[in-house]
Amino acid sequence: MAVKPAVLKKWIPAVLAPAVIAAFAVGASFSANAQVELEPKTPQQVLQMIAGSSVVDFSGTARATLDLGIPQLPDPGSSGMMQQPGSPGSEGDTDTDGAPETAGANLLGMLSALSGTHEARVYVDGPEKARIQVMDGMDEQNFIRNGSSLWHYDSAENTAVHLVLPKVPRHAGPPRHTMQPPTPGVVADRLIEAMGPNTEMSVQDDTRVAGRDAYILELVPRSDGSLIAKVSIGVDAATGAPLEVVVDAVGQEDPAIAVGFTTFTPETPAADLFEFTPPPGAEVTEHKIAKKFLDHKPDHGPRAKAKANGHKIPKPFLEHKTGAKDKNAKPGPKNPAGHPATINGTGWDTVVVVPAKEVPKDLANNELLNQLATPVEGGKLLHTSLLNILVTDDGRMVIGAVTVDRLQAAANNQ
Amino acid sequence: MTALPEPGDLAIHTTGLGKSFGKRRAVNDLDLAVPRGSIFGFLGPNGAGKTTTIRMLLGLATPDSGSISLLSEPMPAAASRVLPRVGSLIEGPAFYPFLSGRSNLIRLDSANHESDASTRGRRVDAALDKVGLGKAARLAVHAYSLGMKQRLGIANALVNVRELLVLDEPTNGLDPQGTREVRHLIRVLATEGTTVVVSSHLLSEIEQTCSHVAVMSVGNLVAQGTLEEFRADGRRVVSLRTPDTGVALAVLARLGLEARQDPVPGGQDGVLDAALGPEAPEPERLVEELVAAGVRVRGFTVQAASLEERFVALTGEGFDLVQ
Amino acid sequence: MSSSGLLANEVALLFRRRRTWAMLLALGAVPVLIAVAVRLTSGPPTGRGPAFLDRVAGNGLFVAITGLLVCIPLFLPLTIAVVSGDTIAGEAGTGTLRYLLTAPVSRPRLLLVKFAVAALFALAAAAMVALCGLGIGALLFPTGPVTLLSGTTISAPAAVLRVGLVALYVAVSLLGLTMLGLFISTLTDVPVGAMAATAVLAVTAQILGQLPQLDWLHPWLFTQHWLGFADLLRDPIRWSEFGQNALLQGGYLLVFGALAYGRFASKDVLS
Repeated sequence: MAVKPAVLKKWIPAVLAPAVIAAFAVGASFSANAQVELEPKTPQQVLQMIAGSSVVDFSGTARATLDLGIPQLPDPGSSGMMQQPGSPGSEGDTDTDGAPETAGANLLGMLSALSGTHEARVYVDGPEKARIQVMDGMDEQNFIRNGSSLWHYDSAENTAVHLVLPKVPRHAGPPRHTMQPPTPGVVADRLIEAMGPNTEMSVQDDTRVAGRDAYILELVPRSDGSLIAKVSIGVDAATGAPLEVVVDAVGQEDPAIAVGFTTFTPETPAADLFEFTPPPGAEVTEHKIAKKFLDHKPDHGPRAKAKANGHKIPKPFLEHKTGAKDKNAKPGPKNPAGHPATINGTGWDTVVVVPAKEVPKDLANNELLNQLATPVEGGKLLHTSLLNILVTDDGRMVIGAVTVDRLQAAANNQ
Repeated sequence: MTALPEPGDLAIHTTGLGKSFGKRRAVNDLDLAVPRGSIFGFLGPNGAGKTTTIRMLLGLATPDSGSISLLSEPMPAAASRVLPRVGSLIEGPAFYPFLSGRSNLIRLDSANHESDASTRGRRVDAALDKVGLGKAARLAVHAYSLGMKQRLGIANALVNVRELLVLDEPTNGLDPQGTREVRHLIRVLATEGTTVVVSSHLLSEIEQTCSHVAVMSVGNLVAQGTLEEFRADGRRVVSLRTPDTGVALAVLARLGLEARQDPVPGGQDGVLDAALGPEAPEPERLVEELVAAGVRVRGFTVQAASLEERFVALTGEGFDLVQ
Repeated sequence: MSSSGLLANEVALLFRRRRTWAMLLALGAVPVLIAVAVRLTSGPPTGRGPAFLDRVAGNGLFVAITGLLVCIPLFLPLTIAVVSGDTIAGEAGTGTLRYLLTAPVSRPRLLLVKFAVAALFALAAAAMVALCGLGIGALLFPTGPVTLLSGTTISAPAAVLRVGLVALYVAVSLLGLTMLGLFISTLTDVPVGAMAATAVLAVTAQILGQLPQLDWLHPWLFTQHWLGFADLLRDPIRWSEFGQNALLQGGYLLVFGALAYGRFASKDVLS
């Protein structure tokens, strides 16, 4: 039986509606990623634009996506839904207690917790005033700097920490914090610093970032051993402000790190945003510190961050962390003085070798580590898409953003 | 059958109407013509396609083929213009059980975009009074008996002045008293100028009220016309009572009549029945011939075929539902 | 003449049904239970249970927010499934659909009216939770200035306004599901089937939203922004989530509204 045209006609809207929406969606993504015609610039000119950027007042929404290829850790508490009262979710903090005894494994745990997408609103008014609101589900972390006063407010715990900075003007607080998603500007600065003759720079097709015309500066390592495929920096054509940094890893389709603004307004934010009074009922910790600034700060950041993500960091971690912070912090050339780590290679191929005595004893036998690491020649390899960590059989730790054979070579050279 | 009335005088006119459900042909090539002002009996056994036809007439189902003209407007295209002028009871009443009878009618009337909200209450009350539900108006429908629900369904068709009423099995579930009332109501409405289509599988209902009849069987229209035409079309039957049945049979056979002997309880007389075909001799000639042949005619009657016989002849006998 | 007559009648009908009030009262009981539980115990330790629960004892206005948070994954969708799944299938099931359509009401108009009534129920349901939460919160706990997620403190009236916004957000969040239920309701004459199918979809969508393997699908799930109302409790208010949610729900209205029309307008009403 043929269907009558009159009947078919009734279905026209049902066909049109998805078509219209699809067209709308495609059109929206097209205009968001549309190429734009900008005055051609060389990489140097774009770098100059960044350096000469005069944007000191702005507000925007930043989004950071981390995809390091780390396996998802068992974590019942982080289900995006919600924890029902008395549900197993509220007991999630005991689940991971057994395994991550050491900071090394905890670092992985935290990276795993940080993986995914995080959003923050950023308000900056000159070098003295800044506010970052990290939004995670039903909670929010606030970092507010107003002159010498620095606040951190954690909505989940309803706690506030107040620091009074010494008179010496310093860089705004939040970016110092390693676990904090850095603003695009900070990330770009670091990358440009590290660039040498071993980087191929080019300006790609201009596009739109955060709804603004932008140059895309692309950095490709001149190294066949690097895990980093390329780094792209989106630079606002109007102001020179870096709006986006994307790091692609070799052999991974999605970017390993993508930090960027989704909205950006180069205007002075409302002044009262930088005024913070701890809410009544909040637990306030006052710190008047000068040099010991670093001693306290990291405690709250990572813990609060992970917490906001639904991760409950076990108590032993915190104690451990404060006790041996230097040893367990990510080793690198800029670590506090006296660090016995040795550095091999330069630029993209830099490899850090940590001697066995500086590596926590139980690391090699750690359950979680064994779960995540793969045995390779000469040790165990912890692989992330941007960083390889080799724990050698003799207990050394070799770290670098390079392929595993480079690490093995560095380990053997010692 | 006489020629159909002009299309303009028809309340309902379908041409080539057809509808299938899967492989089953529910309605096949139906040409229905309901004259304005008639009380139209729509007859057929269960499953003949009457209700499907009514659903198509009222725009509830889309025909696969053919066209419908309802009150001279095309259906279903003109549904919103035509349907306010049509009252209907389709396959039994259906109401929200937790609402009162009155609230149910108010609800359905408020769905009619042409009905006047300011007179709604009054019209609903009048309709309820007409079907004798005035006292039960504010009772929740789940407390209604089957007959009361049926009355409420008819009342719903009467809330507005209608040009056409389509009543599917209107006396279903009614007691004899109720049945009589409904028949009376239908006649009154017809004298007021409303065309009434009454569908039924019960012959008696049609026989007593209708001016026109259509008969459906297995999805097909098998007869259509006035009640008189329908009756006249049936052959007459003679019934002869005589003790000389053997001779009588021979005489009748000679005259071209095929007689059948009915058993008669008690007595020695036999009764012979024979249908009078169009070519058959007049009854008085039959009697003359019988008497001349020495048959003792003790009783002789001529009857028009009952509508029932006609109906059965058209739709087939038995209780089997036609598939 | 009375184009709004049917709508008014349907709204009145919705709120005359015992079922409607049973569902609304059950929803209203959720914040009441939360408040009583917190009052009877000393209150949960911070950071446990649903977000905001630890704030209830300090400020009764949070009962409303906690109530909405607890209700949106399951209780609210269930009631929406009942109301929206019943829209057309319920009429078909009782047989009243044929009388409505021959009354006559055109099929698109009946769909619109039915959707409007179901949407109104969504609003009423969210408002019920919020109002009961505010009421019981004010009764059992101190009320006063409220601390937002960003640490800013706002006055109680301003906080009530925020609660209203959250309720509105929740109601808007449920519109896609409402239209989905309406569409499913046009597919069957068995209202319970349509209700169950709608409820199952609401739960399924949330489960799919939990699977990281289906990342690409997540932005298209109608449940994607259901818990996004926290953005209304920040300072300044972040509207982008509200906007995205409204856009998404609007898309669902368009697609499933069109599908419901296609199905219903071409359907043979044989019940």
